[in-house]
Amino acid sequence: MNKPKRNLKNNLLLFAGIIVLLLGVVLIALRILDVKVSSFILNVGLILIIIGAFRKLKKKNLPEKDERTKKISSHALSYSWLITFLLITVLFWLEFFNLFLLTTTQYYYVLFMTMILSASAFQWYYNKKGDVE
Amino acid sequence: MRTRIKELRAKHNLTQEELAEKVGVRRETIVFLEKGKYNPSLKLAYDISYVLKEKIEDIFFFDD
Repeated sequence: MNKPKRNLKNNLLLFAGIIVLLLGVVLIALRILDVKVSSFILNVGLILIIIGAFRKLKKKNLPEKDERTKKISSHALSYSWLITFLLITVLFWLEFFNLFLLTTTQYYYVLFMTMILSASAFQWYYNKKGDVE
Repeated sequence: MRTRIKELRAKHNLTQEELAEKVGVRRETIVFLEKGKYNPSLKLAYDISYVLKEKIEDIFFFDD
């Protein structure tokens, strides 16, 4: 991605973050929605601002991703998908034989965390290694 | 895989970051290429050979 396009993207990210953050503050102040929802919106705004600011402060004129990182990301996501699939299969059979029971919310949480953590772990590992081969 | 990127980069007085910028990749990719830990695509190999003014086969060597 060229520099002006990247700058525009980062500015949009920062702007969106500020809007979402302000929306979160207003929702909390006016108690329009449940405080959990408002806090979530506020946190999303904060995360967008942090990512936008971090990217903007990076002075290097280098791409954020290239063929190597794209290759690593796609492999990491594939392995993460495979691990999640295996976990779903194991959980299914455990529940089928009444060996291990979880609530729906717990299932969501386990799968959500597995997908995020396994993808991050594979990305970290292959980035450290240099290549996926 | 072995490469002569480091040697040729020095010959052309280029830093890893400058070479990375010229061929449109991150500096880390050049680091891993120099260490022989990453196999580049044909396009990247071609771009590097163009910047370093050498033939691809004179930059990248496969032992097997």
